[in-house]
Amino acid sequence: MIHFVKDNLHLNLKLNPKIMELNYQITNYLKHRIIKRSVLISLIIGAILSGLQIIQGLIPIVKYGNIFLESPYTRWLSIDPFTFGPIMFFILLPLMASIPAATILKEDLTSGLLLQIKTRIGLNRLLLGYGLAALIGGFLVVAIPLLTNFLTYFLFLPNIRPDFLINENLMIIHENTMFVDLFYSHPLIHGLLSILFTSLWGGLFSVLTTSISLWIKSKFLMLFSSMIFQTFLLIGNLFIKLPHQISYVPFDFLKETASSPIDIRIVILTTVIVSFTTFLLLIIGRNKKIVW
Amino acid sequence: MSGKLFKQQLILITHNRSIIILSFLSIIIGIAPIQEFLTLNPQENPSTILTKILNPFIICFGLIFVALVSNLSGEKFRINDLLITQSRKFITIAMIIRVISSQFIIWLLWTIPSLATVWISGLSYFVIGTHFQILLLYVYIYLAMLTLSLLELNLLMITNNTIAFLLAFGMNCLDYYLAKTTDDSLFYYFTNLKSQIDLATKFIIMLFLIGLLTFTLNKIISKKDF
Repeated sequence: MIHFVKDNLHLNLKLNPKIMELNYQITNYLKHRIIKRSVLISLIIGAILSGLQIIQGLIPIVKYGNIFLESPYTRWLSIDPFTFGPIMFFILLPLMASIPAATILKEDLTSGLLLQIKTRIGLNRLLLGYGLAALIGGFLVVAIPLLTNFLTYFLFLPNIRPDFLINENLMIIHENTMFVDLFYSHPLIHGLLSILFTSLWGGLFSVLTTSISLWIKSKFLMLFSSMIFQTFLLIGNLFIKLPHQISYVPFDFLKETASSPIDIRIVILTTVIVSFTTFLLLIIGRNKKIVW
Repeated sequence: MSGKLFKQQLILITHNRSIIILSFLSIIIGIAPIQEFLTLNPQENPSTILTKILNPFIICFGLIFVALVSNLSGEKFRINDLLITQSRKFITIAMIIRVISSQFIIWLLWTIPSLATVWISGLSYFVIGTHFQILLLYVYIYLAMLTLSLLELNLLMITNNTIAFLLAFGMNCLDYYLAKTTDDSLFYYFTNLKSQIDLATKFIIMLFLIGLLTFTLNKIISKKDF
């Protein structure tokens, strides 16, 4: 298939030498390059975990009725503190995001295909294309299971607005939830924003894997690099604690309601530091590992 | 022949950079709970102290995750070995030597810092007070790591890297979930100890599982198309 794409690329380039067409060709190439089976594996992991969470969450409601006036906003994957599915989902999130498109840059670099395309398209544009492919791949793979989980609950539970007193058992307060007033006034918007933020972090993890992969030889380890990074933070959070035990691990703050105290400033700071590190690793990797 | 294999595997492991990085992570996992130890009340319930020392959450998502990743990252087939020895049995032996030694490195680099933090934070009376049974539990965790790694290798022979890891890690998480919700589990039995006989039974079950997984690994390798 790679040969076919290569020939196609060559042919198209001869016909359309314009810059707009180049962009089209990069996207077209990457679209063919991403292995569909790996996307499927990622989606299956997400679907299994979110499906198990739905079954586990609905069993008591089917048995005893909706006595606690539960709504989709207080039951879905990202807010549920009672079942085991969310823990697994947020632990495996970096791996899930990295499986589809994060390692193709390194694979093309080792096979030499990248050097061949580089002669036709500028390296910066090419790297941007690979980075965007990783970002979009990670984004979609995380967003789809979360969205399906959230929307499936609307089939079973009534659309009641959550109340601070009725849903007190969930402890949704400003110490563990960002924009908690929005949650009680517009829960759907809050849920969708949470999905958007989690998916963006999925994309970020995927790009992080891409940029680390330039520096690692082992094919297996580079796929797991962002998950190892998250484990490192998870253990680091036990070792070096911030004041008031505020968590700086994505595993905690990506949930709509975290299991430990969070602070929006720490969340923004972590996001900025991780994105900056990713960008830096990619740029230095470009200069040191691709152009040498 | 086994001595030569052992020497070869030791060279391969010590020159594998990923195992060195991951063993560094396992040292951090060992010393991570020191802050919790320092704020611990010495008159606390012994089972609470035990859960703090051998925290199942850290073991599940930290130590065993590291063990499973290091197990797969060090995996390397040398077809030359197959041609030189003219027997598939030695591939199994090489794999088992590699699993045992790489897991032992990870486990040792976790155990020593872990016991050192226990000693520094003044909880050593607990280790002596339990008649060193806690050291037996450390060995129990090593057996759990070994069982899961062998399971992962069995799965690796049938599927690919990612799926093998996910299934083995899934088994690990399932057992952690069982330990949390019900009272019975295999790998996380140390979270709710009941009796000495039960612990001995679990030891025997684990050793039996290791033997069974070794047997199946040998069977799969003898039938596998390299």
